[in-house]
Amino acid sequence: MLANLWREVDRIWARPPDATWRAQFTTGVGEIGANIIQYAYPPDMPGSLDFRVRVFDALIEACFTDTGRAYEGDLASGVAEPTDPLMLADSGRGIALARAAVDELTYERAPGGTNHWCLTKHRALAA
Amino acid sequence: MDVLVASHGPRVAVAHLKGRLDLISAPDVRGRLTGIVAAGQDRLVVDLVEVPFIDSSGLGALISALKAARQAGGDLRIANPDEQPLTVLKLTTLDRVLKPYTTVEEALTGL
Repeated sequence: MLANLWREVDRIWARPPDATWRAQFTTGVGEIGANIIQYAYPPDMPGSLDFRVRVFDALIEACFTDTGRAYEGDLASGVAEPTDPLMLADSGRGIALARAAVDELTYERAPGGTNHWCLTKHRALAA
Repeated sequence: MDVLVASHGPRVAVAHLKGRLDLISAPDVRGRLTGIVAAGQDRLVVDLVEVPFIDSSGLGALISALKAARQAGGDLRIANPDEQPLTVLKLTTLDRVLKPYTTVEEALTGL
């Protein structure tokens, strides 16, 4: 029984992510976490932030749950960066950056008033 | 986040950042960098060798400083970005305007 458990644990590391994969995943998680802290919970509204990561053979999934304000932006919004540096915006790239960093980004506002964000990124097949 | 500034002449400075450049540290870093530009050193190299992580807020701080430098007739260059900051620059396509230099010396050349 225990041997089976250790075999499963070892399987988590059978496909170690390379540095670029890890940087992309970290980027996506960082953007959504910061977005919740900044917009779901303004400074006068403290609250909780639940963060869970599930590791599968083929992918890693990171999910946030919070009880703050609903996200009302557009998940599909893109940022076309101007070539003139003086025309660049100082902010507003977070969601588009998170989406670009992972394979799937989802958001759901549950009827009870909780927000659920999930990021999914596929793992490369072992060589 | 620590910001260490080394002067390389009346208009040139190197700002060495240490720590995560994120939602929390970005306002302070923005203020420090634009302050250096406002004080006359509008040709700025930002050394990222000790910055393991940048988020979109941190990127916004670098862009604010880049715009301030350009408006003053100078420029801002970044040097030594690690894997994650480089990933953010590529994913946002902002590596076109914030071209990463391999070393501080390379970034200083012709600045």
